[in-house]
Amino acid sequence: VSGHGAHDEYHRHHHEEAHDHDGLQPTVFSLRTPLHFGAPLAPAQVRTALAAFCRALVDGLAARGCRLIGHVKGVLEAGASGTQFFNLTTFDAPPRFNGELAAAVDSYELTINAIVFFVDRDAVEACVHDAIRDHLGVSAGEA
Amino acid sequence: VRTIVVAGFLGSGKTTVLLELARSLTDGGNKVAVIENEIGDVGIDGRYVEEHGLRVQELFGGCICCTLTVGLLDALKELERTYDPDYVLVEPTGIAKPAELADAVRRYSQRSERVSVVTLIDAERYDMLTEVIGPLLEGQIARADVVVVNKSETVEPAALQRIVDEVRGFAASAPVLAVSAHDRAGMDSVIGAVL
Repeated sequence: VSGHGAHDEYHRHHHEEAHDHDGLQPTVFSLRTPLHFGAPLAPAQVRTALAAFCRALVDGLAARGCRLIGHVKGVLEAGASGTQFFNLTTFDAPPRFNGELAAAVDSYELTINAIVFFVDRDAVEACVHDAIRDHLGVSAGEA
Repeated sequence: VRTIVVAGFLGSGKTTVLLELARSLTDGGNKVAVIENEIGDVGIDGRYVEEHGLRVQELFGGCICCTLTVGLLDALKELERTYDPDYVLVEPTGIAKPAELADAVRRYSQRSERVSVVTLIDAERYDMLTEVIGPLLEGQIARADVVVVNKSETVEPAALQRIVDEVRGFAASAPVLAVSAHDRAGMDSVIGAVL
């Protein structure tokens, strides 16, 4: 079977239904938001802030009953200053960083993608916002 | 077109291994495209893979082994039409059942000549993950063509050997290779087994 016929046949039989993932129910939370630190931070300081954000986030998740982190991935995009990727998969280890910032950063866009288990979405959202507030500055529109 | 599915639970190192495979293939003069699937509404990996100069098609908000399978087939067709790659590397979500999406590609894709499944296992979290999500891991291993025990640098040699032995028990006849994709240790054997 091929071409549009294949597509249609597959669609008829699949009906866009999710099959069972062996009982796993991931909680997925994504966020993209403009932020600023309030003053320019050097690249090393940005990594320190991101590590503190991750620490606060996983501590918050653990406190709310999360037993398994699928992953927490993020990217800080700061225009000409560059892009800093980060990710973590455990409660204990610090985040791994990929990419490198070329200059100090004040304003930036943060994207977060968290997939965790045994905790609801509202709790994840609260943890992310608390950790941002404490470590990553404020929304671009705020003072 | 040859399709390689790089599967494995969340955080097992799929993107790192995929990039190593892509680098090896492009060094050999092949045209490589990547399909990234994120269960969330926002993609991170696609952005990262693009930074390595690869053509990327992203699929968000579901899993290509079930809710987005039609989207995967459309993406494959679109890549074949607009880019004509020699290889398409597919990174599904970490909870995907790779055998099911490989079957769908085999049955319905117009031009995929061969579909291989590489399943990654996270050595660092192996004991915890087998306790919490054992059936999913066993399913991801069972129909893989190659199984890669990644993050070997994070465990002691004896523990790594035990993990490899246990994984072999689930893996039918597929080779089981221990690597550290982060340190590029053992990746040549993976590339040799997959390609």
